[in-house]
Amino acid sequence: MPDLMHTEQAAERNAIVLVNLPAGQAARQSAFATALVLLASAAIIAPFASVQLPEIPAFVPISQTIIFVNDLITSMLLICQFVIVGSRALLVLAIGYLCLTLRSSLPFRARLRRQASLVLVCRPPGGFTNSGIPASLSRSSTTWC
Amino acid sequence: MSHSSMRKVIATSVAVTIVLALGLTWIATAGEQHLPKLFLDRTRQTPVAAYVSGLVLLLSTIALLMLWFRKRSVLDLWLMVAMCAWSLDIIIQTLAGGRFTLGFYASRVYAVVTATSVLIVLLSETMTLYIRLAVAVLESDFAHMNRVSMMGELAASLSHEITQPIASARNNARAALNFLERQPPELGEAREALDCVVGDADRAGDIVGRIRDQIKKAPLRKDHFDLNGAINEVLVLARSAINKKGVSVQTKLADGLSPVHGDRVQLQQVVLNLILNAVEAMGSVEPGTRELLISTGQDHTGVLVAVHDSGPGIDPANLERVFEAFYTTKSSGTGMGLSICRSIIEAHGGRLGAEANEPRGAVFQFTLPGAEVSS
Repeated sequence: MPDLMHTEQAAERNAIVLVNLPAGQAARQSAFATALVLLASAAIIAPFASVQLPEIPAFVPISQTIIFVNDLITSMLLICQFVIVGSRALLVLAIGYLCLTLRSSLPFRARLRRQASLVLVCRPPGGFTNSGIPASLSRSSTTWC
Repeated sequence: MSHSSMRKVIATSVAVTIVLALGLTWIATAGEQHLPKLFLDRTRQTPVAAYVSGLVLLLSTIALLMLWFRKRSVLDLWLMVAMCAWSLDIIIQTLAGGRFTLGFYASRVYAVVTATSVLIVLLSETMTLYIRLAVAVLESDFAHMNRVSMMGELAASLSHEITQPIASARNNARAALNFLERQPPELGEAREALDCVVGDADRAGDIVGRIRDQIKKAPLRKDHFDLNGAINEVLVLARSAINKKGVSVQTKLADGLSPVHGDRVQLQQVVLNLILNAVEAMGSVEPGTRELLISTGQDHTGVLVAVHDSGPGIDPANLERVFEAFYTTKSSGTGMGLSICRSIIEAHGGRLGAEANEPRGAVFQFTLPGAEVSS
């Protein structure tokens, strides 16, 4: 695809397209401030991480739904950007977000039983079991079960 | 890349992703007993799980470092924030141990932050850009309408003022013919009448010249701006036309170009006009060989902008004529585009010219004096 390369070259300097929008002082400050808040909160939480709190069964489905919807929209927006700019990196990023979307929705759809999968690593246990969702969903490693 | 092939790439990628995810989910469900166990029971993890978390953490850190050393855009910044939140999600989750602990809730919140940070920045930046573009389009529409109405007034006053000397020239020429038809011809009288015709023609010329001067004197909105940025904006505006004709675009914009002093909208219209002309001209050549190159450069006298195309080129005999008003080679052209472009560039103290491109096609280039010369 030789013309893709050209489009990429043209887009590389295309300051008007979001991906290439250079980060200004304000953008940099707000990003670093957010990262600092995240790190600081983690540092405060870390020593008390294993403290048991009251169970809020609806918490996991709610947070998981937010993640699902947000990842899906992000993926669509990135695909739109890819259509305009034609940069392959953007498509890869968009597909990455699509993977996250599928990861957060498939376990529930598939009524996954018990065990972890390659797709579903790195999700904490927690979720429906104590709230009337079939017990067969329990003991999976994903957030859902 | 054309729109249809882009659509194909997107559809393929999405389909492959979904099939892969479904397949892996199936493998994980059906082949559960063959996979390493990550959990002993609902809360306790096996040592394998720690390796998995470690691997994800390592990958996140590598991604974070790669983004850190890149030339950073707004998107890169917020991807870094997302990676940061994801790493914290994993760390806190490992520390949490069980469900419904403080760490468990916190890690869920970090997961939401991971999924949301890029979305928020995409939405807000897209809206900001959209508004800026909409304003720019409105402004250029407005400038265009001003120009059109100005052209209409000009045409009306031109036809009114120019009718008189032309009518006079016709009468004098008629008279000269009469003097020549007499037997014997009255050459002295005829010469006198023909002198009057020359005088009338000169008057008509003066009227046109005066109106041209008026165009030049029309006040320009002058400000300092970055020409490369202005050209990039034009490229975005022209992209649909460029994609439609399957033209591949290359830009060679010189770094550190000194700011230009002039009317940004007018100069953008010149560049847009040159690009659209080039794209249209290349409509007649083989689809695979349609190449557009836009370059900027700088020398001691000022800034040089060139638009190269690989179209059929211009007959050397007509290289100057293309800038004349009402001269056109297009079936639907008015022949005013390049003439107006030249007026705009000359009003900025620069020069617009055309020459042959190597190995084929045409180059239109204009110069603009450096900011310190014209201010």
